Amino acid sequence: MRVNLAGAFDDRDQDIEQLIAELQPIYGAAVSQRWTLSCRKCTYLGPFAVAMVHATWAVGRCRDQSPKIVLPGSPGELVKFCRYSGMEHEFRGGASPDVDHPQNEVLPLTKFSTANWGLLVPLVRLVKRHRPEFGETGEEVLHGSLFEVIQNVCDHSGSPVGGSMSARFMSGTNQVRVAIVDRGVGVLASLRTKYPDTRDILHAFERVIEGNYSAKSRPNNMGLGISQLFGMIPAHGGRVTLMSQNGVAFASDGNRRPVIRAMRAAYPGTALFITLPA
Amino acid sequence: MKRSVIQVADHVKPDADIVETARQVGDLVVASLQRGETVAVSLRGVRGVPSSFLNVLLSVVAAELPGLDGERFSMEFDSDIQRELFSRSRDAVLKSRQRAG
Repeated sequence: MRVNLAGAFDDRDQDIEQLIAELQPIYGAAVSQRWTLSCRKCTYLGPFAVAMVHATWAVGRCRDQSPKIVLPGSPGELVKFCRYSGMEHEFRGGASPDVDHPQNEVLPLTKFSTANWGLLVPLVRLVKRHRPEFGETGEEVLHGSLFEVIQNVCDHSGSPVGGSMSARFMSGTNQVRVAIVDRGVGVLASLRTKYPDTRDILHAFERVIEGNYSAKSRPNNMGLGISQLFGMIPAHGGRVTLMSQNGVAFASDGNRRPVIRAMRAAYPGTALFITLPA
Repeated sequence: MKRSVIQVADHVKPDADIVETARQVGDLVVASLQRGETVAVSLRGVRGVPSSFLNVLLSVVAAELPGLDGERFSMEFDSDIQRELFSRSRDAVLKSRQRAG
């Protein structure tokens, strides 16, 4: 099976939903069914696309699908991005990207299955390198809120491949864009283990955004993580988007309340995307 | 009453698991409390403290000091965000303990 992506996959909700829709044949592929995902005709890929493609590839390897990712050959900026984002290293066995290169505004693909203190240090360093005046408050918000997400992936996702994280500093807009993606059971299944009266994914989103609905209420996870993100990120002028199965929720400084709605295609896992103004 | 201060920064290492660090610090707090001391846990110099760290730490301490008695146990913060996270975690831990009966 071959899936061909074309055009731009930026970090807007509609781009991500489009990517999810186009990856459906791969999500539904049987164990051992081989597939190739061609990005040759892509003109732009954002960190969300990178993290999603990586998670898809990782699951493909887990399921003996011999996945192949064909990277773009042009334009030059995109080829450079593929190198710095770690896509070339992961999918073609190229050299590891130079994280300290002055032109590198990208955090290489980071795979994780546990939450260690050092996990986010390269991301914070990336931001500070490009915006040396990045304040302590901004660093706290970025660091703390991303750890919430990572802990959720480690504790609740049931993802066979852990999580994939990709980030980029956008020099034109001075934004940090971070994507954290897993291929676990999703928010609804996770919440229903303890709250079987959760009606559907949209209801599940309402509950986790409200807070105090941890799937297992263990000491390390009191169910505040997503709720804190949806409070903290918009309060600091950023935007947070959560996708799982066929639901999406997002909040930004322009929303009084988070917006929760259905997506046209389902994502088999949980994906979270944060944009922070630096 | 002797007062001891535990610096979380001394226990933060890049490869260390956050939840495991919280348990270790919590165990140190409990040991001090059992010796009759008052204990302060300082977050000074630690960037990006996640709620999972605070949740585990406070859960361990609450097993020894059920109401997280402010006269015997306190925290020192580096930022208002840390203080806010602590407040939320504290409320969640105490509520969770109430629910568990």
